[in-house]
Amino acid sequence: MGRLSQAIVAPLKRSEQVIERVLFHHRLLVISLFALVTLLLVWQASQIRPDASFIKMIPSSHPYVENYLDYRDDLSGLGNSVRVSVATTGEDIFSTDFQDVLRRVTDELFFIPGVDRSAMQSIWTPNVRWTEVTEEGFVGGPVIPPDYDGTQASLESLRLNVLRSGQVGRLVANDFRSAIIEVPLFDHNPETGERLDYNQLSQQLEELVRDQYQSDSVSIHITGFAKIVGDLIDGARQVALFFAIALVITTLLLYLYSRSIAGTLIPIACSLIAVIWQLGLLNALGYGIDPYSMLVPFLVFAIAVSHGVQIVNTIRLESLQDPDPWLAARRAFRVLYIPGLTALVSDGIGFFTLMVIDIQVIQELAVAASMGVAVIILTNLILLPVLMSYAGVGQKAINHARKQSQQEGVIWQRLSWFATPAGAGVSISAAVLALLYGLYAAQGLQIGDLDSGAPELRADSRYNLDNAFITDNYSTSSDVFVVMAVTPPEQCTTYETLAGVERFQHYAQGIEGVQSSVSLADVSKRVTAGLNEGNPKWRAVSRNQFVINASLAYVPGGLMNTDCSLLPVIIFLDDHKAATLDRLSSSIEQFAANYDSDALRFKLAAGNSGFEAATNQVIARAQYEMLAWVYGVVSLLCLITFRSIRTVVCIITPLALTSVLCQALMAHLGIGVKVATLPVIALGVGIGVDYGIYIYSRLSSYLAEGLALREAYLETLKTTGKPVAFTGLTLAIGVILWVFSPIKFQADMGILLTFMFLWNMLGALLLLPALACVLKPHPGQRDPGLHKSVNRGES
Amino acid sequence: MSEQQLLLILDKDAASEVALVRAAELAQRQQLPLTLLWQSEADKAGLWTQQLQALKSSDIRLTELCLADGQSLQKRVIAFTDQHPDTLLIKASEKDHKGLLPPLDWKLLRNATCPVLLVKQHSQWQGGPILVAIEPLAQAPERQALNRSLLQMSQQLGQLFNATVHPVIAWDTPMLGDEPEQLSDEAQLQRHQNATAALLSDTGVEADSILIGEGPAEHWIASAAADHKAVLLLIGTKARRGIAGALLGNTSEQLLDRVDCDLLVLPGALGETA
Repeated sequence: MGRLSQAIVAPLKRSEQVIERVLFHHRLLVISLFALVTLLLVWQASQIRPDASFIKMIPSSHPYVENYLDYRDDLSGLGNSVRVSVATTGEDIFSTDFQDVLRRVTDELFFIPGVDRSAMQSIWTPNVRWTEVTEEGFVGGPVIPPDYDGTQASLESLRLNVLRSGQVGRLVANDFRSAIIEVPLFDHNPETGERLDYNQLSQQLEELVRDQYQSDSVSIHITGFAKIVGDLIDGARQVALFFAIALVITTLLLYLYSRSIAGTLIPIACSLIAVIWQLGLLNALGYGIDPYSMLVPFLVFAIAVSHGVQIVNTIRLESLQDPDPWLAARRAFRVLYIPGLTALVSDGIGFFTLMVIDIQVIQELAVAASMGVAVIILTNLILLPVLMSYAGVGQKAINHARKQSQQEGVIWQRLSWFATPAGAGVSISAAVLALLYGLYAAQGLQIGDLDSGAPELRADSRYNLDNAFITDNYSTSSDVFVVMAVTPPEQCTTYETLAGVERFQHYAQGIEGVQSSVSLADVSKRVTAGLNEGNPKWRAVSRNQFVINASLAYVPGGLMNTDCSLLPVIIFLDDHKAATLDRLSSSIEQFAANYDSDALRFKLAAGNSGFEAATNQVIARAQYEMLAWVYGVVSLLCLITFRSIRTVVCIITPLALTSVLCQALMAHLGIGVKVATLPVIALGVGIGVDYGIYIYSRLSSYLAEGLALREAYLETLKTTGKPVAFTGLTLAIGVILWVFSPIKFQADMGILLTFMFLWNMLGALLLLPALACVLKPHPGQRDPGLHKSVNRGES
Repeated sequence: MSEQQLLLILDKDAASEVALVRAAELAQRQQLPLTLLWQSEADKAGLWTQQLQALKSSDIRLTELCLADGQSLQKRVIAFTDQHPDTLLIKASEKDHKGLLPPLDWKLLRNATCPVLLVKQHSQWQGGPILVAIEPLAQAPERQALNRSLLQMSQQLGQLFNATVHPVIAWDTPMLGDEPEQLSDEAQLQRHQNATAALLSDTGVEADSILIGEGPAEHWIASAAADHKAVLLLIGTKARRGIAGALLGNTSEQLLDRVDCDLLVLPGALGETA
């Protein structure tokens, strides 16, 4: 290991020598360069825009999504849509005033850019019709009669039409007190060709529809992915406010800890500069912020602060030896170069491994996070020491540090017990118990959404109340799973096809969790019966092709494509829980495996629940793949740095424990693993590995000086353990306030991050020394003859 | 083998006087020929008439040269050292060395193929102490040869001026994450001490106390020089030029402004000759 080890360390040391000389002999030049780049990137960062897209949230290479994308044009309305429900406080919707409002709302929605106009459905759109069977045959027409004039007579006629159209429970509520307008959306704004701006769309919905038409007698309810995203983006203001509060708290606590104004303001400033650079670079590379990666800037800030505090603390320690700021900063730079660089590089590469997950939002998050960490290398490992070399920590801080180093520090004495065999035994046993509990509890971890509505928002948020309203009053749920029945061209209306589809529907409706389904076969059956005086005996798919053709003379939109090769089967579900979706997709795949033929194939899937099923599958697999990559990369980098497998075990084990317990916590709190929460655990690894690397490096140096493990660990706690504890606690305090956020997603993240900050800190302080005691990775430890006490850092 | 020469660079600046005094002393003690190189004709006339007269009337072999208009000082110096390889270049140190472009002193240090003595102060070398900065743990043969040359020259000067000679060594702050044997302060100290002792016995140089301290080099060496009130500091230089010189600089140049004593710089190339 020795020669290999040297081969790895030597170039690292050489690079440090070069960089150190350049930095500390050309400080002004360095600062000017940084100032220039910061100005440029501030300008870039100010232009960053929210950038949410439906397609980015779904796994684009999953077979379900690929199938959807193949038939996308034929499946308009089954991808991304918004539902607007207009409700009355009066007796029912059949009143002049209400119908007037409904008409005007329909028109407003029609003209919003991004709306797929031909696929829009409401009783006021011409594609919604009623049919009736009479002695003369079929009678039918648009639900709104052509001679509608708002009089009582035409309202009566309207009521009849609605009843005959079969839209009760779909576009008209079961209690006749509200009506829905289905608004399918394009991914792109057809006028500008640019991606649809959900923020703008959401605002338009609010301004043009809700604000204008909501009144004492009329209430508006809006649901749909676009509205969720819009609300999240609106909530970004709140998110920013909570960041600001966390920032202020961190600054205050940092001052109390360091007693140095420069030592507080400079690391905070450098950390903020890192965030600005990250946002600026993201914008420069063409990315935007989507609501699910809103937390990355804060994570970048947190990691930057963690490193900044370590450096300032080391500068303080070096100042005890020699108060000259230039000297202290230069020495601190050298001392922390290897651990700082290793920690940040492993964070960066670790985050980058999230790219293996096939969901664009997460891949963009990987890019954003690793870019942020790369930037921290520049701002906190390079700029920060240079700035501190001018400012120094100040006499007050040096005196405080001197006083503290001379005190015994009861807490640290107690904690150093964990580095003794007795303490190590207790610590490791507790860890094993926690691990077992965690593994047990984590079994309850669910993939996907566990509640109805939008779990990113609170249960009492307007969106979720609207969603509850719609679910309560309508028979078609908002959870739609579409199966595509594919045939050769012009074959979709043959008897074999329709009978096959009917058989499939019968099968699907028998699956638990399915509410109902709709397909062209239903239309054919109904119309066939209608053509025969409504006789229920005729309510079947006819074996006579001409009868079928006649029954499908008029096909409602969305149930067939233009070259008659695709029949969507729309399945309405009770909920979109992961278990339901799982059950459904595996049952359907089973059916398809058994019954697919060249003439008729059943392909999954479209509809929001279809995508969710695909996403859940990708996430379930990706969860472990992601952790394997992150841990693999981080372990490898630690191995390269420390050249000892036992050391890697000491550093990685507390992180692994944190990951398991975090999963258990998620299961306990009812937070499902979804696109939004999947990366959290990986991010936690990145945050925690820093502590382990810093502590272990310092411990290693005291052991090399010949101290026994407990003494070495006591010194480590007093020098490096303190900033670790401080950082963990401070960031946890800053983040715990997020539970008050109106955005449930941020509140959930607040709890998980608080837990991870604290648990990583505890793991590094209590479990790492225990493992070091048991595994004895350090060669110095194996020789019990060296028991010298060297006091470093005291005058 | 050619005779050792002293080449003194002068200009009309009053600070040059210390260099003149120093050069005269060295020429006197070692009976070496002294060449005066005036930077311009105008400098020749003026301040130094008295000292020059004294010099001319002494038994030092004196030559006067002058730079022609537009002629580069460095080229002239190089031409001289090409002719007389065993030269000691003497100059008064400029007051400070700030500014965007490398100052004259630095250019001389970077381009000289001979030792350069930059004189800063009036005080006598007699009695010392003389500090000599070495890198005892350096592995490369040129560095080791340079160490030897430095020690030998310091011994020569120590004997000449009856001064104590102190090797001064800076060790680099340990980096966390380095090999375990590099991490202990005590072990570092011991290693440097042993290597220095070995080097001293190898070269047959007798030194007084060995001054070992934590770097960076320019900080420790300067602080040791100040603490011991050194009169002369000998140091080698890698003479980095161009971009490397602009970015990394040379420790000897950094020390020039940090020490109050005279600085005698040996170029790395010198280490290759015996």
